[in-house]
Amino acid sequence: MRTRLVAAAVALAATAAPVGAIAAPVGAPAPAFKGTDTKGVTRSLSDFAGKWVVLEWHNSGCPYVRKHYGGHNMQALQREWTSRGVVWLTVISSAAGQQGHMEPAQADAYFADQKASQTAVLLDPSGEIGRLYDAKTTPHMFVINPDGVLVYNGAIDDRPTTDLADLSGATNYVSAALAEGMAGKAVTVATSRPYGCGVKYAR
Amino acid sequence: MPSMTLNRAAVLCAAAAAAAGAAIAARAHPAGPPGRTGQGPHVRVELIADRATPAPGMRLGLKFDLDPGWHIYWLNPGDSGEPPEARWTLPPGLAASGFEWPAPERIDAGGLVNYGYHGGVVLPSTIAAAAPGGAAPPGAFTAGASVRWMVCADMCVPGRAELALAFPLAAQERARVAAWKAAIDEARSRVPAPAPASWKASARSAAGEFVLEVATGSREAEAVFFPLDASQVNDSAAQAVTPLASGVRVTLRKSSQLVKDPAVLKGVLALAGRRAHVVEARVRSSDSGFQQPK
Repeated sequence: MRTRLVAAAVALAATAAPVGAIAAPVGAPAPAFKGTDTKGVTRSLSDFAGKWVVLEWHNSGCPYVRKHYGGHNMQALQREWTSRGVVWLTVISSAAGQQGHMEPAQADAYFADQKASQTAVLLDPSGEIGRLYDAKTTPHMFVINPDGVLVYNGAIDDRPTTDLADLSGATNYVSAALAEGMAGKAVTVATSRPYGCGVKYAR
Repeated sequence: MPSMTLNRAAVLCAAAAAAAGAAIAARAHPAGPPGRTGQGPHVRVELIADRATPAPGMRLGLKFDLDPGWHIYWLNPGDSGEPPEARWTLPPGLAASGFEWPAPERIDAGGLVNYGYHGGVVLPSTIAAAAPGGAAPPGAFTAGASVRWMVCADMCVPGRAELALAFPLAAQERARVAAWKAAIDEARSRVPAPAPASWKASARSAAGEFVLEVATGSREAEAVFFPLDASQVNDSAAQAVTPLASGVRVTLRKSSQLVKDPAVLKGVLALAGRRAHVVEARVRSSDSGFQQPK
């Protein structure tokens, strides 16, 4: 009886978040979102129930993003993890007129040129998905497990710089979270300070 | 006087310098011998000193001058960005302290909040013997600084400069040293001092929030809290400030990256009249929602 009460209280805390609650805390269900990708397809988090999902916040003009794309680090991660069944969604929350904002065809051409291999690119110029997750920076990374629980919220790695040379030797937190999670282990580093340019939300 | 702030900065700078060591060589930068001044997009930076002839306790400073609307960062940059860093080249036996960081501004960038400086800032660093009891600075030497920074407005641009200053200063520089010393002293006057011993600071952890109360002995109408550690406080959340009879209460939203309450909430409390002090508040837990998933 007591156990059930506690479980109910926890469930309530997770769904009916109090005022001033933390957005997207790890260990709680990831916020349900719905967005449109560059092909015009509506994508909801619930579409991917039973799969691992990575969310990557992106701004093509940001020097921190350019480090990870210029060094082909992000593309390599996308290729590796999507080949292992992970759903990788790149999200652009730059508002119209702001750095990194893209129209669908422009985004497709750009990511083709970058040889990116994410599952889909979500265009979020209203910032709705970004606000739901409290995405702060580009990049800012989230990992969601097949039960829909957020297991990682933070930086892409432990080298908060724009230097290409810092890609080698960096500990990649996204890969670590996916590897540990898929092995049935707890994620050792479940949060970190996201680093990068501020997301260019609508003003 | 700088005590804790200086120590923190020193640690941060040492780690950053080590990490930056390999990276610096790979960065593209303008060729040419180091000079006393350098620049990048939207930024001019110069190496200044508080005296013409080396002496123990001497200070150097990096003086940043920014285009209107652009900012660089405090040691905790807030939601995004990164603090400027210097890697010093000094004669054997000498070392530079971490920067003394003047109290920052809260900079709203499209709903995200950064801690940093508009217009410009001087970041002083003390040159001293690398080990206790070590030698004083020699009468003639050249101080070098590999400086890197991130400057942002609507967008962010990284920059770097290789700077050098030879001692004793040349005549042209001697003429400016009084102004340089004044700039370094002015910056140091704005470095947050430790809280007076009479102050009492406490923090209560509630669901999603820290309620910080600081008793200063008088009613404080204005306050802004700048966290010294990243990932404790949600930087972009509004801070609710309640003046108390003999102090102030500031309610802070917790960071999404905070998994477990810290033992101590540490930061700079800026009050009206440009008073800024470092406060450390022991965190008392109350029922804290999903912060404790057991």
